[in-house]
Amino acid sequence: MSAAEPTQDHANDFVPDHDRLRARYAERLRQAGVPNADVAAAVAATRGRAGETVEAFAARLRVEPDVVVAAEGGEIPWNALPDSLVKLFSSG
Amino acid sequence: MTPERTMRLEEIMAALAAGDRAMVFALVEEFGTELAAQVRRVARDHNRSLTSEELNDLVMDSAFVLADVASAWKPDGGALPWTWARGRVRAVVFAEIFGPYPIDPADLAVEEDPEVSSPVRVTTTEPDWSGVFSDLASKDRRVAELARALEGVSARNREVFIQFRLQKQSDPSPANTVGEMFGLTSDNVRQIVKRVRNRLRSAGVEVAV
Repeated sequence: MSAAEPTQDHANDFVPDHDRLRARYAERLRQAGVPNADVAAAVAATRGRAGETVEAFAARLRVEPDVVVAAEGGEIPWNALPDSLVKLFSSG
Repeated sequence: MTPERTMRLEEIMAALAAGDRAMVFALVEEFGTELAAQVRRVARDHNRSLTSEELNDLVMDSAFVLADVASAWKPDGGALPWTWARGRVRAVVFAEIFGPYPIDPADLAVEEDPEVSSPVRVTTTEPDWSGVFSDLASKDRRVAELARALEGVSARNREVFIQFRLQKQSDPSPANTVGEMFGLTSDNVRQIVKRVRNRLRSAGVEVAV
């Protein structure tokens, strides 16, 4: 939080920094003791930005809703994510 | 706000109220400009510039605040969620900018109101009045007076009093809103506010309500 960095103070619109927002979310999960917080945050951010329900997101990725819930709950490490989710992240 | 956006906001808030925390991203994505405006306002009120990183962090923190209180927000209540929860949002933003010291929304409301002379600082979610007042009372005579005046007032009634004070900043029917938050009737809320105010007044502490 250096004061020398560029500011958004005079802009009317907010330009979201998605990496930053995701990191903030992950940090909060870590503080709450959630494991695999980065994975959980990445999945939540992807679904949340799309504004999709768990069911719709799961259907789009052809996984069970429970998998999405588990991933967002930090129960799945990167190397155990279903391919469709991994591809989603790797494609940006 | 267009009816479509209002409807979308209600959907997001309903999802948050149901426990879908990922929807904080939807809130930021779709209503980040509104949240950012509020964050900037707090910073500007305290002559503080924000970096892009700070703004993003604080917008996300604001979204978390709204997620925390989403179940209490009523779409037909008249106030947008960030207006309705303005005090809490401001408290979180203030604390993040100026340090970890716990700040109560009442403190910020007090700063905006020249009629109020006694700054009050307590935690936002679990007000530990005795601890905070003991700390502040040693530094500020007015806080010491306020702490003494509030001795014997229940924690709930203190919170009702503060919430009423905050809601009144922007809510046309604060007693109804606070009543819903605490499971009280609007008459109950007004009675509590009146009793606390009278108690403060009798102790020589005048707080505009």
